[in-house]
Amino acid sequence: MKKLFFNPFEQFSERPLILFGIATTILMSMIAAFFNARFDGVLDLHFSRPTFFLNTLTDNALNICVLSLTLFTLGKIRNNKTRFIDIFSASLIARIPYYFLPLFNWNNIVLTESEKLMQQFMTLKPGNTPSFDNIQIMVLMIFAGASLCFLAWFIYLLYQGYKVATNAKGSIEVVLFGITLLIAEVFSKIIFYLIY
Amino acid sequence: MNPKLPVSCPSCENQLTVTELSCLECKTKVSGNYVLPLLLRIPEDEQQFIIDFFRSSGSLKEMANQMGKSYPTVRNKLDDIIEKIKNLEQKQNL
Repeated sequence: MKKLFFNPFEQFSERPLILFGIATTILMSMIAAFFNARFDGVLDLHFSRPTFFLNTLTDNALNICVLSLTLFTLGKIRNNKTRFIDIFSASLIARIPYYFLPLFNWNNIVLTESEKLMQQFMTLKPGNTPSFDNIQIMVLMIFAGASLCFLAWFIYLLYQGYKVATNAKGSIEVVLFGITLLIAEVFSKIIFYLIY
Repeated sequence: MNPKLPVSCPSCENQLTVTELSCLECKTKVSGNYVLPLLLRIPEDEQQFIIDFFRSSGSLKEMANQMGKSYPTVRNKLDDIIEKIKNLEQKQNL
């Protein structure tokens, strides 16, 4: 059971992983649109309205492509036997935990509270301290905590998938993987900037 | 129970060699100093992996199906064994 949630790449072949990954991406893109979430970067999630299914699906498709291509480039450099299909299935599956974060924006609560927070800071006079109500703090703290947990899960899964695809071993591979993930984030931000 | 073939010295961890072979039927004994073949110097599970690989005509996909593992996991195991054998060969040639 632990392997299923934290390293399905060791056990399942690429076909079921890709089919499950694509189906989940489409379904969760629909849900993300309903909760006004945008995945505007490989590691990004923002809430904005209005959000449409086509937006969230395009976001996720772009993120998966950028992630797959950057990690495949690194994988091919480190191990010539790396197959694109294994990196692609890892990118598809690893993002699934991230797709659950929009659910926290039930009734636009995270969006409303963060907009309120921004408004408070914008209208704050120099020297004054902002006052927060308990619900606002609680909502934003829960969301921040959950975001960190789901982000860690996403990166862990992605590394496990990368490791299985490239037979990566040792700390150098972890560092290279981390740098490549940041490069993927920068690439995705540039692409999103050019598109929207 | 089949006793496990020891390949390294339990005291100094150096490579063990065969010094005596005997016939179970006529009790003839042959003494000498024979180096263990490469394939006998890797762990038993890896020897079994090589036999399975041979039996599946070298098809990693078929092996992955039989083992209930993904294709890259099986390929990685094979790559690790190849690496180990290369290292043993290098050590032997030194």
